[in-house]
Amino acid sequence: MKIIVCVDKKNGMLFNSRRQSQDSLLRERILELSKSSKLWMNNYSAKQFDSSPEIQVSDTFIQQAGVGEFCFIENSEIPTESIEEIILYKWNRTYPADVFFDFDLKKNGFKKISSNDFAGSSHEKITEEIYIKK
Amino acid sequence: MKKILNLVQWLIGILFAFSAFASGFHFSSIFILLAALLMMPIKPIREALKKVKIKSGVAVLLSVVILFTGIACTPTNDTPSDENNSAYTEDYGEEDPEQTTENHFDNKETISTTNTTTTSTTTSAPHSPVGSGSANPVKPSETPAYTGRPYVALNNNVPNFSSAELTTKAYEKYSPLDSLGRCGVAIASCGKEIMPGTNEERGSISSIKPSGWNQAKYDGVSGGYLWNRCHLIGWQLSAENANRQNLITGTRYMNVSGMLPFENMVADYIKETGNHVAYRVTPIFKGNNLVCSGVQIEAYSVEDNGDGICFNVYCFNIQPNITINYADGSSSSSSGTTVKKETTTKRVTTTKKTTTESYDSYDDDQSNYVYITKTGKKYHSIPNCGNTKTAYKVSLAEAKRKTEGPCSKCW
Repeated sequence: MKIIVCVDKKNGMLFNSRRQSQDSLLRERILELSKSSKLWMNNYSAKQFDSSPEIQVSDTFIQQAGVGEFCFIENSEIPTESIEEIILYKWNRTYPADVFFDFDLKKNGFKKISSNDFAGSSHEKITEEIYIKK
Repeated sequence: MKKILNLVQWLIGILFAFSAFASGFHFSSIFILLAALLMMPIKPIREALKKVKIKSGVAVLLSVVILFTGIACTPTNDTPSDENNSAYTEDYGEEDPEQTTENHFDNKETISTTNTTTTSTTTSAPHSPVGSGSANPVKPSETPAYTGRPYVALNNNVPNFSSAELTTKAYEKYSPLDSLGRCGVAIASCGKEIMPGTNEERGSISSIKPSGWNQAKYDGVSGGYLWNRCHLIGWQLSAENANRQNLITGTRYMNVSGMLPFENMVADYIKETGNHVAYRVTPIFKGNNLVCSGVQIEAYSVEDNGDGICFNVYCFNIQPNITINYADGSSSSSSGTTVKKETTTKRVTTTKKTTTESYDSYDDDQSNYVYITKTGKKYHSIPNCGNTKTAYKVSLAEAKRKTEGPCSKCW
């Protein structure tokens, strides 16, 4: 599976069980990225998306996602196995956080293959970093 | 005369009988009906009474006594709702602060350890005092202890807004300064209506000297200056510039690491959803201190009942490695850091331009500032990009006006 995670400058993901930020252009980008495959997410994440054929909603989506399929993870534990690719979206701002993305990319053998900046709808700069398993 | 008396007794008796069933039949209706029968001059009843030596006058008197007994036994219309009210109040009091927040906390704990089924439920609005409570600021004597993080959750992150404060009509309200010149509570319903416009630039706030403003410069402090003019309700939420009722003396640490992340979270949410967020900031002063010990920030998104934004936190007005005298804002290094102290004396006025720019540039979001050189065509995220020594700090908006765009090396 290919996991998609949004983080702030300090690798934060959530505060008080709520996402730190969101961006409508980022959502469009995620849909574009996964349009030829399936995009898995849970009910919490699905609330911020309009319905789309590639979106698969399940609260056990990480167990259900297959090879080559995308998982948008906001408030679930990052799996330690079966990850082929990690797509990190960095907000480039700091938000309050009590849940962090603490997945050790190096230790788990991931290598950055690209880094691109783009403007979001309410964020001047969002950085997309893609990591693949060596 | 006797006929008139009989007629009156008939009328009163009928009235009694009617009232016995007017509000439905219950135990007291029997008393009132008995009173009616005694009141009315019904021959068989009066003759029966005569046999037991009860005269007509006594019967009427007895009727009145029984009537009052019946009325006394009648439950009033208010009684049931009074009971309901008290029961409601009791339940409300028991449920809210304790049970609800405890559940909320439990859910939060679960989230970090995974269970996705549970996590999806944690995002629902808390069944809490939110919307029916009132301000419950931290008592100055009970401020939390600093444990190495710039903020700490209060009341398990459940704020205390009244229903009137949870409004979709944008507003902002600031307290008048007290006799010591200190700010009080600032509250707003933040929405796009009161946030700065797309091209709106920040105004200068250097003319304001909040209570306890006693500036000092330390090498160990990011940006150099200890004190920032901290907006209670941040500029990005309120577009308020030099409003002295909205500016306090706060450390760089509290401003940037404590308050700003929360402002960012709320601002992003509003920009993306168009919703409103009830937002209250309370500076906590101990005694007659001119500098607050910290600020309490509460926020709650209105349209989605807290699904997007819900927090209640305390931000510490401290600066690591600096000892602060909160009575007057004076400070000293507590770790041997090189100190260049600059008090608000002659130097500030004689080098007004430089000092003013410095103070302003350290207020609020550092990410709104970049570096340019007089001749360069690009702006930079760091002051020494390309080993230049002539870069100076400007607002991002100014940099965009003066240059062609960001430098590809440092951005």
